[in-house]
Amino acid sequence: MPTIPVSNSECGGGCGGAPSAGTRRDFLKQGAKALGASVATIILCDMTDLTKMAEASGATPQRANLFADGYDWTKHSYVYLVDIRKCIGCGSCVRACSRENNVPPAHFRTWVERYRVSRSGEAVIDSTNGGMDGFEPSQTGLDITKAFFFPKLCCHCTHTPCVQLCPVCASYRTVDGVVLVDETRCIGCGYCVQACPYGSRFIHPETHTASKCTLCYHRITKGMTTACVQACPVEARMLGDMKQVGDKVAEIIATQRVLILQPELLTDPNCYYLGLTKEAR
Amino acid sequence: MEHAKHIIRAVLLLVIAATVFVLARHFAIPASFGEYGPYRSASVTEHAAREPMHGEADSCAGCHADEVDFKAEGKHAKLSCESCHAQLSVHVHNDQKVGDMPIPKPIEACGWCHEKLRARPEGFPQIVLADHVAENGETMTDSVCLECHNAHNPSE
Amino acid sequence: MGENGGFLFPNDLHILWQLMIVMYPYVTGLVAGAFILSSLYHVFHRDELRPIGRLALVASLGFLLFAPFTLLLHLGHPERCYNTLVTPNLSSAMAMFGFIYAGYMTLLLAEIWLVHRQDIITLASRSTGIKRTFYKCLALGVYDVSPESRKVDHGVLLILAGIGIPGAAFLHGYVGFIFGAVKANPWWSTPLMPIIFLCSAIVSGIAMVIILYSIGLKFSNRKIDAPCMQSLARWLWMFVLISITLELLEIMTLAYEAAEEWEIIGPLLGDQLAFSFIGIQIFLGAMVPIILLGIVVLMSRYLTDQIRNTLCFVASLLLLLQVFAMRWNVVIGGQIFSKSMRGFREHYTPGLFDKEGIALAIAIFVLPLLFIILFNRVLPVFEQPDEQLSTDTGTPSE
Repeated sequence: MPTIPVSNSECGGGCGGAPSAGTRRDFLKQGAKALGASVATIILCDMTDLTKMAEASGATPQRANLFADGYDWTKHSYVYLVDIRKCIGCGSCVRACSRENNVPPAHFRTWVERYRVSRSGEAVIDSTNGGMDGFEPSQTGLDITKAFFFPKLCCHCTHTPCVQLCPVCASYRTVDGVVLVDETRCIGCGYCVQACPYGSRFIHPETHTASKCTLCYHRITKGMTTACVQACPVEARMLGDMKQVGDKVAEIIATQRVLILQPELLTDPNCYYLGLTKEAR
Repeated sequence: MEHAKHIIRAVLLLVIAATVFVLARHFAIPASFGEYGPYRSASVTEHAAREPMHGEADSCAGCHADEVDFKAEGKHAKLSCESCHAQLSVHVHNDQKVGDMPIPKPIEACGWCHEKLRARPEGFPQIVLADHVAENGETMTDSVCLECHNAHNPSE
Repeated sequence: MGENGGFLFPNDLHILWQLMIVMYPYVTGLVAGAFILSSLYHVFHRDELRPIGRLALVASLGFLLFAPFTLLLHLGHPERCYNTLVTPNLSSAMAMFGFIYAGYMTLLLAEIWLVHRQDIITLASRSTGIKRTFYKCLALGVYDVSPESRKVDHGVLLILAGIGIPGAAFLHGYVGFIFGAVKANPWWSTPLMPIIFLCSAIVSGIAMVIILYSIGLKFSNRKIDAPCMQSLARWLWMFVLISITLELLEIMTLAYEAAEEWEIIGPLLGDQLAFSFIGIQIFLGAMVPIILLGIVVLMSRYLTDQIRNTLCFVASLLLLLQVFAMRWNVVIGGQIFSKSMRGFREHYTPGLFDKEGIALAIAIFVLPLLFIILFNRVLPVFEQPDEQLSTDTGTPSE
């Protein structure tokens, strides 16, 4: 087969005059080399970027501060504490969360479950509308010996499967320990919803992207507390900061018998519970 | 190699395709991606930039100092105003009143916390609403609670 | 509240991964299975499989072409799918889909191209006009049919098919891994998942090729090659046995260990999935074909070609159903129970014309078949008796 003839126009303006066959070939060679080198550099850069990112996951910020308003996310590490013994099941937190975050109906960024356990260990659990309308007194037909309310929310796990599994890096954990979703990049595959052992994620019925508790990131970065914590009338919910000296929650976690949900999965949750009992899951 | 010309051409095609992909990918990566980890860090500030809907603990005192002080003296001191009413944003925006704060039906709002439930902690004040109303010789209406209690300071 | 008064997490009311996510492992399974079957001929030189060597490759390509549509139809934002290629999460199995898919597509195209290259050149020389240009482009402008070039082709083909086997295993093993790596879901989370998926993928691939081969030859009025069908039946039987053994072993282990998860998986299999699991996946879909294929394999010499072909055809149809049921039971079954492990969600029945409905699922299943027919009009899928290559065996002419 004949080789493809190279037209002069391909030579571009750089050749000048009437180049001999030799210089033209040289030029093409040089061009190919240059192109190859630049592509190779891009590949190399992209690859090292990716691997570096996978390792660093925010530990070494390259910019001094991400926030324009003076908030420094390296100086915070948020934790959450729920005291089950205090919760009165009023649902204020669920209502507040829904209003604060415009949570779609029948979906919950936080919710409250009611556990009623009989002497023989049978548990009747309910969470009608996530506890948003409070709870009704109802008969269980059992000899209830133990009953309590069990507030839930995203545990903002340190080793969270939802971030690990997100195919497009739309789920991530911030430097100050909050698991967030980049709604502009989420493809809505729902893998993270499947991956969350606590059922705290859902696909937003309107945006078709994953949605979840943001720990009221728009509030806590402004020095406010979360809507649910502020709404709780009995201080059953508390927001803490492990990097603040003398933080009340950090002190409780350090000194008291706090438990986490499904510790066997080693997701390393940052939501701690006081007064958890074996039936609660 | 003489008889592998077609293979070489196929490989060349492949190399071109791969190059096009690598270049396209390079330019498709969003601007702030990867600055702090494998995510678009602009997303963090987007989250942070959202307007809070609920105010802060002392937001109401600016205009309703009397009511807030009165509430602070009683058993509802720790109860956030917005828990029973609504988020501040429906009432005030940029220091301008934008709407009335809703007032909930007392029988419903009081019931959220004080209807007797087995799962509530013992010691928390709770009543069987119907019985409590009957015991005190009242008839059940939406605002029956207010006959005896002040919602902002219920022991009054 | 769940179906049986159990407790569901409030966000766990609906089945999130629906029919299209059942179709996805099913279709990619057909891809991987058909490819591995073709490799038995191209790499391991099971010459009796020659008649289906090309068909298996083309079927694999057909299903591969339409596999992404299952995912695109499922996604909340299909227009953002390129994000998986632009910013893939290196720790996500799902992010690898685009790359594995592209790699596999390249491999498959290359292999099909090499297998058909002689035909392409012949057709280019015979045809005129646009058709000629088309075939010339397909030939990449090289018309070398010398024995040396064929030797080169053969060498490259061997390498490609050699890469292709682990490639196919990876393509489908990774689909199993997507489920197997979800530690929040005890019905999915098992290291056996990729292997189970792979084995049943091979089963479905071989079954599909048997069906395509039977129907294809019926329509072209040619005789089914008996040694080929016998060999297909043998391979199919082996892989069904392995596949069903693994599927049952997994459940036996779960049941015997009777750990926390069995409290929900027991009722799931015995009650919620009784029809699709016990009825279809185990009994009708596996036990019956095992017996049918057992007859073909063990009593071969007493069978007429007619009976053998019929037995294989029926067994293959049932096995296609079995593998679909297996995918269904994994994907839907894994979501019927809430993550509370205390209750079952509402029953899921796919809609007819939904985005993830039955009509589109059928379309995704039928379009690859149309592709094979179309492909056959451009390049021969079945070996032609008058071909330069098929001098030794191949399908007997009518």
